[in-house]
Amino acid sequence: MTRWQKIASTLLLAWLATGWNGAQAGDKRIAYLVSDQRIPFWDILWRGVASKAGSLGYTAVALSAENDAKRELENVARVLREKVDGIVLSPTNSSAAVTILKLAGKAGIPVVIADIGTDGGDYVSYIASDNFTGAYEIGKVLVAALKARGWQDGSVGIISIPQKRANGKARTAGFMKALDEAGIRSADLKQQVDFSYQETYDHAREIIARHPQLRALWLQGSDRYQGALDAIADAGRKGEVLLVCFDAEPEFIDMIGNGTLVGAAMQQPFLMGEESVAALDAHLKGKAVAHNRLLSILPVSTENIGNLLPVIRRNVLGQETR
Amino acid sequence: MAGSAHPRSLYALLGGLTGIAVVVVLGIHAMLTIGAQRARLEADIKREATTTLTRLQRTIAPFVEAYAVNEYHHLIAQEVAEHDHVGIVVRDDNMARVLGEDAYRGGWLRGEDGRPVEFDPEDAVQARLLAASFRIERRSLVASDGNVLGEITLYLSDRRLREELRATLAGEVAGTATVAAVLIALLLLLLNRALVRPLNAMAADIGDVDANGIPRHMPQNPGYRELTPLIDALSAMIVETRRSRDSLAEERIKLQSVIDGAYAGTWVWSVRSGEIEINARWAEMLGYPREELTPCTVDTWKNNLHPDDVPPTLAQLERYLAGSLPEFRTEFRMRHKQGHWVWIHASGLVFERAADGTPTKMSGIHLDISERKAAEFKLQQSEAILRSSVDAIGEAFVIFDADDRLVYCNEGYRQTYPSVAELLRPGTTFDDIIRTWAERGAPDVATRDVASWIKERLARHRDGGIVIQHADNDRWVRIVEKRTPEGFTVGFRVDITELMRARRAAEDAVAAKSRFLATMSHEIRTPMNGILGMAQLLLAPEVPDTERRDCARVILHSGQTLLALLNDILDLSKVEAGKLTIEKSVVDPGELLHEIAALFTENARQKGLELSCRWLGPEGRRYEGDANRLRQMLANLVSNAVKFTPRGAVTVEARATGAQVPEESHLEFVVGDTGIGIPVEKQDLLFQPFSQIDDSSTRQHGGTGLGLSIVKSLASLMGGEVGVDSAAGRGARFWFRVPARPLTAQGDTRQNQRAGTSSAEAAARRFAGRVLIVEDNPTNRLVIDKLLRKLGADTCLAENGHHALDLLATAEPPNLVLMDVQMPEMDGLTATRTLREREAAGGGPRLPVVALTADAFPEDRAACFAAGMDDFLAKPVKLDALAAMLEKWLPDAASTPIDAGLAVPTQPVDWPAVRARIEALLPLLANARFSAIDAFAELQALAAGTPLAGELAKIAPDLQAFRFAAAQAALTRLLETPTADARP
Repeated sequence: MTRWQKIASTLLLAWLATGWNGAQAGDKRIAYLVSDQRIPFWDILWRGVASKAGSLGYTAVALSAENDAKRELENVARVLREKVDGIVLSPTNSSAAVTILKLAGKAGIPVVIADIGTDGGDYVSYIASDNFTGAYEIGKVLVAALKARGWQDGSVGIISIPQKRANGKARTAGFMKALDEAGIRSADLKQQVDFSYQETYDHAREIIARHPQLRALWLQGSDRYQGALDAIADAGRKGEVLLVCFDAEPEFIDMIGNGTLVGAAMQQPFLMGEESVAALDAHLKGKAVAHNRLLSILPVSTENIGNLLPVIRRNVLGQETR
Repeated sequence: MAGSAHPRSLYALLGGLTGIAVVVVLGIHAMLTIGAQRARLEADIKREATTTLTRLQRTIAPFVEAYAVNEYHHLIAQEVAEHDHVGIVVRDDNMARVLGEDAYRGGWLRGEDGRPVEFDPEDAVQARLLAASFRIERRSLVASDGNVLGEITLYLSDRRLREELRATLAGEVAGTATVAAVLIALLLLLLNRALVRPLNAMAADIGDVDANGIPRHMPQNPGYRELTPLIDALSAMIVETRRSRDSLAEERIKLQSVIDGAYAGTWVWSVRSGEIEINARWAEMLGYPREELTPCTVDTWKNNLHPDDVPPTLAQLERYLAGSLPEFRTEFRMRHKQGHWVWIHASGLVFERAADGTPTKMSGIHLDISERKAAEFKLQQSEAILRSSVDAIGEAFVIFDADDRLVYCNEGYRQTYPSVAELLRPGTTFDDIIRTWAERGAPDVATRDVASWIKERLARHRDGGIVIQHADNDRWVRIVEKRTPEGFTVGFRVDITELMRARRAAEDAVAAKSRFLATMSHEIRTPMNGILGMAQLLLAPEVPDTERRDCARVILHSGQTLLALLNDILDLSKVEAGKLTIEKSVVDPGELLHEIAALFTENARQKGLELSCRWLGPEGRRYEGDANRLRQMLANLVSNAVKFTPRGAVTVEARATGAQVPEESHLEFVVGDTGIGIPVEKQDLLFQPFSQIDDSSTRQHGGTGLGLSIVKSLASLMGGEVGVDSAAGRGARFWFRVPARPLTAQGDTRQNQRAGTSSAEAAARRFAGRVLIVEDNPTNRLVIDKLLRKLGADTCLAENGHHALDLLATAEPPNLVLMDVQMPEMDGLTATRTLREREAAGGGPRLPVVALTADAFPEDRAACFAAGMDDFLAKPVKLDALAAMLEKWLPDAASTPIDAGLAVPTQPVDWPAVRARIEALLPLLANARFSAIDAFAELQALAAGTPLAGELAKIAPDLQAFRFAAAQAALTRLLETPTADARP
């Protein structure tokens, strides 16, 4: 359990002990219903929620479902009983979101959805990352790196998240657009299923083996980057095949700096958390709020990482508030 | 059925009863069939529901177990949308536990509009819809471990049941109807043959009737004993009807003969159908054979009516039919076949009505009254022509009968006497009319005794003749009345109002002209007398220098008076011609008042009046205005004030008003006096030309009456106003106020020069005798006195008739009286009459009285002789005429020719004195001072009889016309370059 998770649990216990009326910063209360706070992305997003809520005078608490449907509903029932003033929701899936929106709507509690969408229902605002543009921008970073090395005749392989997901489709389309504009061929596309190290390594080895002209690999995730790096090294193509990723891990800052990674398209979960609370606050104050909003994804490369570092630390890694 | 308007059909009644029996039997059969069908369908539905519920139970339970609420909601939504269920509701115990609620229920159902809607446990409408389900089936939801998760409820619809039952019912109805129709048709056929046909045969027997509708044959029984009473009754009725027909035919023949004898058209109108049955005479009146108008309807009648007669005729007919009139009787025109109109007298009566009283038949007659109508029309036409002819004359016209009762009068007559308009109707007597008119203030009676006026008017009315009458509304009429042989009085009133007005205007104009001429004559002759008299004196030899100067001064003043008069007339004519203009110059009100004071102080002093002039504004303040005209206006007012004030004071004041705003600044001059005052009712006349408050005023005070009129005209031209506040005997306060923009104040110097006057010595006596001079004008008195003394006569003086009578009564009587006519207090005529009366009473000798007057018209002369005067001498008097008169009336006087050797001596110019006068005069002229006129007159007097007099005479017109600059230039030239004769 991270420190933030501990804080959240402590806060929740305090809530339950004081019946929400304890010595909190503000009279208004916000609950962050998250599918699984153990995943760093959601934890960073919670930090954004907590930071913004504090600055606006709200008391905020995170309730993680630990990816369990029953627990998610129990969390919902709890915040409904306590009559919180607003909910930031990152549901376990978009179908469950429908039920949660119905229950919240019936209780008259406004909901802002962060990142994971819903199959239906009424909500105040839906805030997510602009996957298409982010992939397009990181594609341009890769194209520039290939051209700098004179490798524009080489091809690029893709190890993607499942393409039935909307965000997977948007990422692939944005990236392909950048390659098409530069006239660089796409070699192959392998979809991850269990997101394991082995799966990533196997996909990378297969693509390298089948495409001798391959000059780069694009991994649509961040956590299994090591599988791809190992596959390149084991295939004897280290230094000849570049790697570019989506999303971020703390160690990416050094890896992009020393050229191990050409670049990475980094979502800004901390910013997303802040914007979710801001939207909820605006709604509670009777102001107009955009119903759907896309946040930009940072196309981080060796060239711009120096400039973007403060933004990355804060908005991407949530380190600023520590 | 007899007596019923709509008899029922026996055949239809029997047929109907048969049909009902058939339908009832077949209907019971159909209902039994449908009941069996319903039981079968309900069993089917229950079976299908069980199957569906089992399937849903298996599918939904895993979702409930996995808390996948949205998923099983989605499944239920699909099931409701795709099948004919009323709704499906799941009771989710898992969710209830998680949410801490007693129950959690979700599902879908068909709403009121038939569309699927999500289940809401709190929605009363949904609850009602579900409760109304045809059938409700329930199953428990069981988890894989056997625990009960909740319950699923299926609400079934009966739609399919109703549709299939509806189809079965349709089939049964169709089959039943077909069988019933066949059976009913067969039964009706049988009824027709057995009952209807025999009855029809009997009816046919009775239906065969003659021209009068009476059956030819007796009815026959078709063989049913139930019909025998009916057949017998019908037979008896037919026999009775035949007897009535014969009786009616006889009555009709009698009636027709009556109608034919009256030569009347007859008509019978069937109101409902509109058909009209007419006789031959009806059609003949319109020039048609009867057949040509048959069939005749009410439209035939209406179409032949004259368009103008349609509305009234139809209105009367409708009123009669509605019961508002007892009978229909009217007259109208109908078009004859040949195109002309025929006058018809129509009358009629309703003779048949429906049960509710509505007329159904009406009959009547038409009579041709065209000849009578033509005669009436000619009579009316003649009368109308007569009336319009009378009206066309354009004058008031009236006829009274032999008893003097009004027969007719036209509108013009009523307009002539609107005050008695209500009496001007036939039958009122002439006496009543004129008496009422007189009582109501007839203008013609205004100054008369009413009784005598009526008596006179009646007499003239009876005698006939012409009368001029002052009618209502200030109209004048000439009445011409004549008696007719029948004893009627025909009268005209000819409007001569305009003629009368024109005559009055002409008379007024003549009177005004006479008055003006008389006034002018008097006003001109008076100063002329002074001039001519003094001139003659001057022509006499050896006139002492002082006397000569007095004479010259009198001539000068008289001439100035004449000039002022002429100027007044000239100004007035300019005003009336719109040619008088206002100049802009600098006005110093203080200086202006100073000049006025200088002008009139002497006159006032001579009358014992105190004259004060005060400028109440800032010292030295100057204004933009027409100084000369203001001076003229003030002089007129002050002159009047002095003239009409016998004692007391005259005050002249001036002030500025509204000085804060230059555009609104005015100068106001007020001339007040303690004189005779003016009655309020006469004040309006004051500012009219040639008007004084009365003629005696003219006689008493002199003057033309032009002064105030000129003041008013000048004030109007300047944009100002004039006014007077006064009452009889309380003095007067004349004022005028004119706009005057203030200028920058400047100091000024004033000069005022007045020359003294000297008196003359009496002339040597030539006639023995004493003459009393009765004359109000001091100048004339002086002239006549000097002339008489020159002729050697001794004189005594009186200012008016009253004074003269006093003198004659108390002092030694004179030998002769020279009597002016127009004088204040007592005029010459009255004085002479009184003198003659005294002489007659006292028995004394007759004192000769000679009129000496400026009233020189023949009627004046006649008036003098009528008053008892002995002779007449007109002004201006000539010395020789006066001498002749003395010679005539003073017989002991010695006559000496005085005309011979008269010459004007030429004297040298007293240059030092003249130069001093001119040098004093020049600054006055430079500053346009009014006092310059007097100063110039004195200069002329100084230079009289010298070569310089001619030069000054050339300059005088400039000064008199207020051309001061020109006069100044001429005098300056005279000083610098005098002519040879006038050189110092």
